[in-house]
Order: sequence, then C-alpha cells, then structure tokens
Amino acid sequence: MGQFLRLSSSLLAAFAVVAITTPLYASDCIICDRDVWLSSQTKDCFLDNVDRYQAEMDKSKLPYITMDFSKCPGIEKRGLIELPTNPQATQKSSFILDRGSLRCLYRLVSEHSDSFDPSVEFRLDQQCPDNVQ
Amino acid sequence: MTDSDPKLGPRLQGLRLAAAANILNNLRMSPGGFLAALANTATAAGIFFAVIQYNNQVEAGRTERTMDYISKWEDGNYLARYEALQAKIFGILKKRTPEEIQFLKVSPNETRRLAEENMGRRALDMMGTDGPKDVEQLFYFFNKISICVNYSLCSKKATNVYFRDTISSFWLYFKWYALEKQRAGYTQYGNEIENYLKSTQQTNLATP
Repeated sequence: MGQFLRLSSSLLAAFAVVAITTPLYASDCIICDRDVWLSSQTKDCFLDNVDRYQAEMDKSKLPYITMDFSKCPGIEKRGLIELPTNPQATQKSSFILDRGSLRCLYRLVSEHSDSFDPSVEFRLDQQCPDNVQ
Repeated sequence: MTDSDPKLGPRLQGLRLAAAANILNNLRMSPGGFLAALANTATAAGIFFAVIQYNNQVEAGRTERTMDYISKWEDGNYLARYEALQAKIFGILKKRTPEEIQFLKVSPNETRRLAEENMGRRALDMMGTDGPKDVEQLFYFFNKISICVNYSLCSKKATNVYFRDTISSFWLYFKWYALEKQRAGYTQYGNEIENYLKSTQQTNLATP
C-alpha cells in the first residue's frame, strides 16, 4: 500500500512538473498572435477600440479580429520603436486575436498597473491559460 | 502637291531640287567605295556577333554558378532543412479551421501576411531547439544566392526557375524573423533576399 502511495505521489509530481513546464496555449487559433506588445499609445488605442473589435466580430460572425494600431492617432509620431538605419524594422503594430484572447488581453491591460513605456509584452499563451476554446 | 505647285515659291522649289540631286550623288559609288562599305558592314556584323557570343559566354558562366548553388542546395543539407520546415508549415495549414480560412478569405492582404507570420512562428516552435539554427542556415543560403543574382554573378533566369518559388514561400512565413534580427542590430538581415524577390516582381503566394 505504501509502495502504491509512493508511486502515485511520484507520478503526480511528474505530472505537475510537465504541466508547469509545458506552455499553456491561449487558444487553438493557428493564425492568431500569441504575443502582443503595447506601448502607452497603443494601449490607449486598444482600450478605445475594444468594444468596436467585439462588435466587428459579432457582425462578421467570425471569432477573429485584426487590431491595427498603426492607424491610431499619435502612433506615427511616438510609440513605435524605430531603428534609424531601417525604418521597416519597427515594432509590430498589428495583431490577430480570437475572441477569448481579446477578452483576456483586455483583462491583462486593465490589471497592469506599471508603465507601458517603452512597451509591455503580453504573452497570451502563458497569461491566458483558461482561454482554451 | 507637285514640283510645279504654284503655291510653292521659286526659292523653295529650288531647294527641293538641290536636295534630290544630292541624294542621287550619294547613291552613285565607285567599286572601291562599294568594297569599303562591304568591309565596314562585315566588321560591324563581326563585332555584333562577337558581342553576342561574349554575352552568351558570360550567361553560361552565370548559369554554371547557379548550377553550383543547386548542387549545394541538394547536397549541403539545405534542402532537407527546408523540407522539414515546409512539412511543419503544411501541417499547420491543415489544422486551420473553416472559420480561420473564411476569416482570411474576407480579410485584406495585410491580415493574411500577419497570419502567415504567425504560422511561421508556430512552425519554428515546432522545430524545437534546432529550429532557429535551421532557419538561419536557410537565410544564409538564400541570402548568398540572392546576392549572386542581385550583382549579376548568377543567372537570374535559371535561379528564378529553380529557386524563386522556394525563396518566395520561405519569405512569406519568415520575413518576421529577418525583421526581428534587424531590430536586434543586424540591420541588413534578409535585405538581399527581399531585393531579389522584388526584382523578380513575384506576386506573393497568398495563403487562401
């Protein structure tokens, strides 16, 4: 009996190690972004538009949305990290999210109390574990 | 209008007659002049064909260099790396749901590019720890052959036939990798590949 309990606890511990070290994928969405970077400008833009994103998903009846922050006011001037030698190598400013990830990102952004400058990376695959569709 | 056209003034009619006489004089040629003209024509033709032959030789040299790259591609483990990566991409493409396919169908090209980028990232993750090394080896090879074409050292025609679709497809899914490298300070990373693809005006193989 004791041996069985030892074996069970060992198996449980091994399972826990695997569960902790295996990345938790936010969703099964193949085409979606798993990392989102937000600066203070893009964060404001995200919060201003999150309802519109939801509404667009409802309208299209497809649970995906492309958030394009490059068109947000003030983004061209500030908020994107640019290398002077190659203007193309800017920080990513467009992301595809599914409905669950959008909801989770909204929660993460709302809960984030530190500065968003220069930018904050949200790892949706790890920070939204309860989001599997 | 004829020479006796009353509308023409006598001065203009005189000029026209002089011009016609000049043309007739030029057509008359002595036998020596004829031979000289023939020799000149033959020389010009000789130079013309020599230039063509030289160009053919130069192009043959370029084709040979492209063939060397094809051998390296097939024998140097690059093809195996590419096929492994491609298998991952195909696996990912197969996993797309009908909703995802529909979303991409109704989305603009920029969204499709984003999706391809994300699928490339997933493929790289699936390659495990060797993934970045394999991708960098492919970048290295494609960069070299792009430089070879961009600076007219390789045959563009032969390279296009053999490599263009492969490089174009790779670029679709891994352009983001080059941009991340550029952000990390390798400011020219992947630029030659992009220049090569732009020069071929290859339309992107958009994911359906």
